[in-house]
Amino acid sequence: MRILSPKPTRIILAVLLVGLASLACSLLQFPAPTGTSNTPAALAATQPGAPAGQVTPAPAGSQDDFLRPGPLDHLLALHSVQINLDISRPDGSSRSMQISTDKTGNMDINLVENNPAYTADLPKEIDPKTLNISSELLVVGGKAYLHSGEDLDWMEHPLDDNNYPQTLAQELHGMDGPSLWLDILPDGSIQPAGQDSVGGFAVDKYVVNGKVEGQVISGALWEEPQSDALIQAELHVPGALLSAPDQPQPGELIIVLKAQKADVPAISLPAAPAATATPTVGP
Amino acid sequence: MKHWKVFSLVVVLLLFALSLPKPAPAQASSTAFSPGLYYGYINFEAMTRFEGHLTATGDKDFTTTQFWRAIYTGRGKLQLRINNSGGGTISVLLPTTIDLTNDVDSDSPIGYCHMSDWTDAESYYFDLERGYPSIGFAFQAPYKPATRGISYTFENPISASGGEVGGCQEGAEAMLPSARVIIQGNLGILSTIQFKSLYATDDNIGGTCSLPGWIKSYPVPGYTTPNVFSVPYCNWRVFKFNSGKPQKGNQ
Repeated sequence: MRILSPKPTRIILAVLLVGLASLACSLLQFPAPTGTSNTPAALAATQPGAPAGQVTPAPAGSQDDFLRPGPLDHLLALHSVQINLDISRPDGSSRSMQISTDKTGNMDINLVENNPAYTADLPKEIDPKTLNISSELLVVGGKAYLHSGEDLDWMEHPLDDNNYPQTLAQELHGMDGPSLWLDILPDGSIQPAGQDSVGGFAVDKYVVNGKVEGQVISGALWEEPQSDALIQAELHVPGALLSAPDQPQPGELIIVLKAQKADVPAISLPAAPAATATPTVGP
Repeated sequence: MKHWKVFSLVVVLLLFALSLPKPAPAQASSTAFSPGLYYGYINFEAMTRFEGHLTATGDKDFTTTQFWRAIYTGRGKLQLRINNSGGGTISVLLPTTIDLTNDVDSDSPIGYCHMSDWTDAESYYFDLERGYPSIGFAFQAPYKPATRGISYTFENPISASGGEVGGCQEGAEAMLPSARVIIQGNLGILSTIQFKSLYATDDNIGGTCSLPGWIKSYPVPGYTTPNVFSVPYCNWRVFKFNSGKPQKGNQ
């Protein structure tokens, strides 16, 4: 019986130890005290002008780099090609882009932007037909120049952007590009569909068919395995994915990309007009 | 001995109480979002619009109608990375197209002059992997497109005149530089996008957004109508990035 007498004490001690262990674990979960480096105040102080609540940016090159180069970037890196990108949106607006890249990487880009909002709600005195929705940019040595009929020495005034090809690539990673929609598809939505030949490239074809929030994104992709460049794509994105779930938008976003090998003549800037010429309009 | 046991029991109960799960920190309690990586979009239209009429009566009636309107359309990509404590990172890539129309029409007994300018431009903005201690029902990200530069993609001065009025085409051309100044100045108003969540499941989050400082109205000297800044729509939606890495064929 004597050996039983210490038992309640041992039980209490054991419970005490368990309690201490629990306390130690729970202390590790306490939020950091005010004044440590990850508080909004401390971090705002390290970033002048940053909105409240911000902390330091994550290190570059994280696993899911927002702007990671992919097959679309690889396509833009190909030289002596012609690329056509046509976007048709459910709201009736559209955007067409034709990019001719010569063997040195210089580009001739023709844009056509059609947005019904631009010509709506205008006073009767304004003729919407006077809005010419097309424009042409020449990209030479990484700098872009707007081909202008008004500014006669446009070739002497590059746009603010110092690396237009990079800007273009990043723009194509946005809402109007295929990558965003392919990224959100569940695994198994992109299936190999054999080999093909398009635009002078030997390519692998993939069929796209996947559901996001009950909506089917469909289409096809053609990739050149050697360069990992996206040579051709057609994607249909339901308008419901471009709107709130309780107010699904009819129609669809259609993205059509086609590239082909082409013997693009050398792209260069025309000579500036003689110094005596007076531009009718200048910035 | 008995007192020692009672004391020990009290200590154990105290420790047990301390070890009970505590309320989450305030920064995490504001979010119900499922942790993970989300990709999606932000889509907005911001507008400034003015239309005014002036009539001068005297020996000869003279009327002027002035109109300008700029539409800023953003169609961009949004990434949220939400961690287990409700914080995370936000990335914004936001190309923005701008269309500005400027129109002045003057009519008088001696003739008329109609001048119209169209100016189109593009800008884009990105801010990558900025960390936040809390991403909850309402959050914000910087948006400063003016700092990234503007590409003017189209400029067109149009004019028509009649009677004894001349110099309209020159006037239309002279208005073009001011269009660039207006576009640049308006972009300078923008510095932040505020996001408001209206719906959230384990697979997608979305809602509306706003551009602080943009919505306003101010009088234009000489006219009775104001210049109005509005945001017809601003929406965002992100979807859970399923595999955490791109599939074959993804960009």
